[in-house]
Amino acid sequence: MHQLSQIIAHYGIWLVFLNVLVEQLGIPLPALPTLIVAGALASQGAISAPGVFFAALVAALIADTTWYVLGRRHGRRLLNTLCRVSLSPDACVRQTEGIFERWGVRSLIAAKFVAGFSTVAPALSGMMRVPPRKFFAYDTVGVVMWAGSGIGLGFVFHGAVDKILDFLDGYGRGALLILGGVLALFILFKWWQRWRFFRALRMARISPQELHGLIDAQAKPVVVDVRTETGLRGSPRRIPGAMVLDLQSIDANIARIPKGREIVVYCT
Amino acid sequence: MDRGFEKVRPLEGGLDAWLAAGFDVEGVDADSARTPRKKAGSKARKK
Repeated sequence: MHQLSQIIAHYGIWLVFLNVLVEQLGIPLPALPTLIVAGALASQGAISAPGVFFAALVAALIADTTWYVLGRRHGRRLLNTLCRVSLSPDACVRQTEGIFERWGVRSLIAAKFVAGFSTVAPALSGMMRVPPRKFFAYDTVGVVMWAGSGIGLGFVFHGAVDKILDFLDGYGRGALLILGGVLALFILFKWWQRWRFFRALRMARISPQELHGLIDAQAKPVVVDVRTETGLRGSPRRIPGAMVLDLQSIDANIARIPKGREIVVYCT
Repeated sequence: MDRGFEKVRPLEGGLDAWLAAGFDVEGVDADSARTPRKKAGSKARKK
């Protein structure tokens, strides 16, 4: 067996548990590749397939339940904080609420497969007061499908995974450094994207003070509230005179927005 | 922009930042909010 595979086989279950737990708690450490490698090793009998599966299941449920409880306790504040660390805070709140409005608690089944939604969905379920049993049932189905498909992919493509492990094994323990380096580069790249995105947004955005000044100066900007229905119900207030628009039916509503004036759009 | 609007800017921090700055808000009825409507009563939270 490869040296690298031996390390994974030896610590595999704990590695899967920790990787899934930290990823589901919001740290950008992708767990799917780990599940695929663990699945490939399990197909060769190097690691217990049920062990890997239950490690992933328990870790994901611990993380999701934590977010669910926090969502129930802290509501919208938690969602805003979670979304603030995403690439686009406003879009994050609006999109996650939009998905939840459309699919309800069933969205938990697919949540693990949607980047960014995986961590937010359990918190949103808590915020929406989804009953604990219902949350647990749907979340478990989602986790079973996600972990099962990762491990299943490993089973199916174990030949390809083996070749990659073979290649990395040629570097001995240096392979761990290579993997660590790739991961560090991935995280750096994500942060760089984020930094560029926020810089671009900062340049394009208007501050509340600036908007207040425009309104006071009779500059008549058109203020548009694009919150979801859930957002509106959660906080039934708007900036005075703001036009409430449903982005799902923007084509039908676009004629309501006067042209030739500055438009300020806001979300939660 | 593609629909003929020249200057569109998002509000930094959204409604939360507006509220945190202490500026006025007015009530809105979520059921009828997405159709044109009259102004609701102000909550007057002026700084």
